[in-house]
Amino acid sequence: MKNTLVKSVCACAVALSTAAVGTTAAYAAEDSDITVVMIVKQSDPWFDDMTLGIEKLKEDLGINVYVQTPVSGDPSQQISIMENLISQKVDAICVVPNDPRALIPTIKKAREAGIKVVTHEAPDIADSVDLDVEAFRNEDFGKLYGDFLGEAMGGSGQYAGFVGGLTMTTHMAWYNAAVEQIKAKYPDMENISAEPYEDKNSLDQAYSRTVEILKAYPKIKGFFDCSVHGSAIAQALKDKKRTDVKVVSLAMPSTSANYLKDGSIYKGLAWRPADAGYATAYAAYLLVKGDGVASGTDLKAPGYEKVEVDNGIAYGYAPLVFTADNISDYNY
Amino acid sequence: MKSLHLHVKGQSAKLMAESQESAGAGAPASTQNSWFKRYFIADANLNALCFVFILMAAVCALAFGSSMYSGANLQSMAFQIPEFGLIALGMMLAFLVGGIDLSIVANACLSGIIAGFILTGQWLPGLEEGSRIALAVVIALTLSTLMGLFNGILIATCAVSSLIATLGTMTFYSGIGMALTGGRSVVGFPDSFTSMGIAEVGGVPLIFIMFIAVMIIMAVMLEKTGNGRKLYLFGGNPVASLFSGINNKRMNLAAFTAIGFLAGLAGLTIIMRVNSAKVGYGDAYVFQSLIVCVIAGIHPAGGRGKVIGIGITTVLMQMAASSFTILQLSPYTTKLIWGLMLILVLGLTKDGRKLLNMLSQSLKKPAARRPAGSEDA
Repeated sequence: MKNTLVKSVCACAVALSTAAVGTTAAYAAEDSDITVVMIVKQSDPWFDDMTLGIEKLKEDLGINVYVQTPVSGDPSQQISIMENLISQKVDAICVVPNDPRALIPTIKKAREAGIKVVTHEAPDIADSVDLDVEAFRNEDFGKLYGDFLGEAMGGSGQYAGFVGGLTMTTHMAWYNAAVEQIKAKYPDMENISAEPYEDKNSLDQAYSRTVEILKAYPKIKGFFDCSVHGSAIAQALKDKKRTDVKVVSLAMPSTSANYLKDGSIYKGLAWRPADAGYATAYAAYLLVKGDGVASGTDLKAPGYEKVEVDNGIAYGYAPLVFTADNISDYNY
Repeated sequence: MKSLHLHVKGQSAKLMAESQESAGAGAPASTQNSWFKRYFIADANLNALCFVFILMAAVCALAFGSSMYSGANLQSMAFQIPEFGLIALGMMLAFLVGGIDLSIVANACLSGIIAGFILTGQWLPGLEEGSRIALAVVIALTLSTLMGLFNGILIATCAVSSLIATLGTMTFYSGIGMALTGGRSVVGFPDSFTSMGIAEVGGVPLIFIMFIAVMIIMAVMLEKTGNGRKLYLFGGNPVASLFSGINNKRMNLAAFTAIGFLAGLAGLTIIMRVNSAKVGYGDAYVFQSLIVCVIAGIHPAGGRGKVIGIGITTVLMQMAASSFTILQLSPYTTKLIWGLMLILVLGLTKDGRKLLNMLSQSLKKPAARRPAGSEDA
């Protein structure tokens, strides 16, 4: 019994001290370097790809830049990591907020401590941070849905659009831009509903909504989905033997690759998390150096060579179009 | 009547002493006069905990030095501890009565959301800022206490196990929050409210002082009053407590109602600090508070554990979290270490208790040689 205790105590001590000693070196070098930390939402293929971008930036610039990943998507975890980083006196914090508004007090605290804060995918709180970096203007991205769906449907026929939820401002901006674009460019196409359908960000919902729409509007020729669940639409079409219907959807290689390859999704839209991460952290680096980011600044990542800065938001133009041919090149 | 009551009280106190003894005290409660000894030497679990704490503090000092013990970092830790600490205290109460409360965080979020609606003037508009804040605090605490009471009623009168009951109410409370907010954040609180979340007195955060005050009140109520002792007895042995004339139902009701109140305090602390209220904030705290309770030596089967243990453990967890950030650990490593810590401490509490008991016995021997009267506190 004594042994068990002694063993467990020793194991604990050893584990802690090796962990500590192992990293002391890396930690001690911090002072002379610029430290930029990227806090992502959680650990998943999307943010793992973003981590690749950060690692590349570390190689390219030689600064101390690394990713912190919360254990879960709970906003409290991001706040806690940020608080800890503030007391570690890092130079800049980049964050992809889970709940942007909940971070505002902590962002304020960080900036008061002289830390530069750069967000990504949080244009709503751009006035509270040093800079927000976006992959594109939502209108530009939304137009692409319209362009591709029109192209696939040959410019005529009924179509329907999905969003994750009516309250999701990004999805709604894409949806509206897509519908406007179709109106202007393909006047013969007809939107079957004045409001977008909601897939509630779930494959189930996207699937069953699609089946319902197919029943109610048998003449429908196309779908576009602003959330990443177009693969469920494609699956429903396959199951109902309606492969004549075209689909354009936000896509992730991990979930949409097969549907793109067999043509049941015509085109997938996305942007590259690695590039977005690279550009965001690079912007933070420029701010720390005092160089600033203005319209025309090159953030060194594809699609961010000449950002447009507007009200504290730096827009790139980095939409990524997946087709059957290029989908195998990506892995996130 | 009175004599019967006294008799019952005496008996329960005796049982209490016995259960304390079996908890690892080694010596009968009556001979433990010095509070220091009772708290830190006689309690094997606290011994283990203090040992781990000192070890951790030393390792941190060696490895991180000033970045862990700088004023800024200590203050930052003191800002982060209360919201989680209050939830852990709630979970402790659930453990003490041999139960569990999965709905604490959902309760905290819902009371935060309701307070948020009042603070932003979406509900009860047209009030002065000062009275809006007061009203929000009062209503949030009342509602959270009622939600706790509801849990208590389910568990005490419907004989549902607390795991099932609170799993249900957790979903139920989050569902109400979802319906009220549609999943969005409630934002835009008055500055005078959020400034309380960042206020400090002589460098110590106000919310941390509040947390300490809550801990002291809880410790006194649990360990110094008859009702508190009854709660321990009920948790440790409900049959004995029933036969001692304790109203078992009332014990469950009291514990879960108090948890509700603590959840309300946690909810207010959270929205004060993050300036917004949302369903799902702090979900990770449920799991973490379970770990804290087990590490703190609160026995999951009920009846054992001290408030001070929770205090030490929350600080320990915060130190660990801070060092994980400094070490740039991946979330997988973090989870792994939490799990490891849990298993280690479980190991410590079973076999380790006996060893530490022996240690504390030998520590106590010199004291025992002294004349009995000299160590009266």
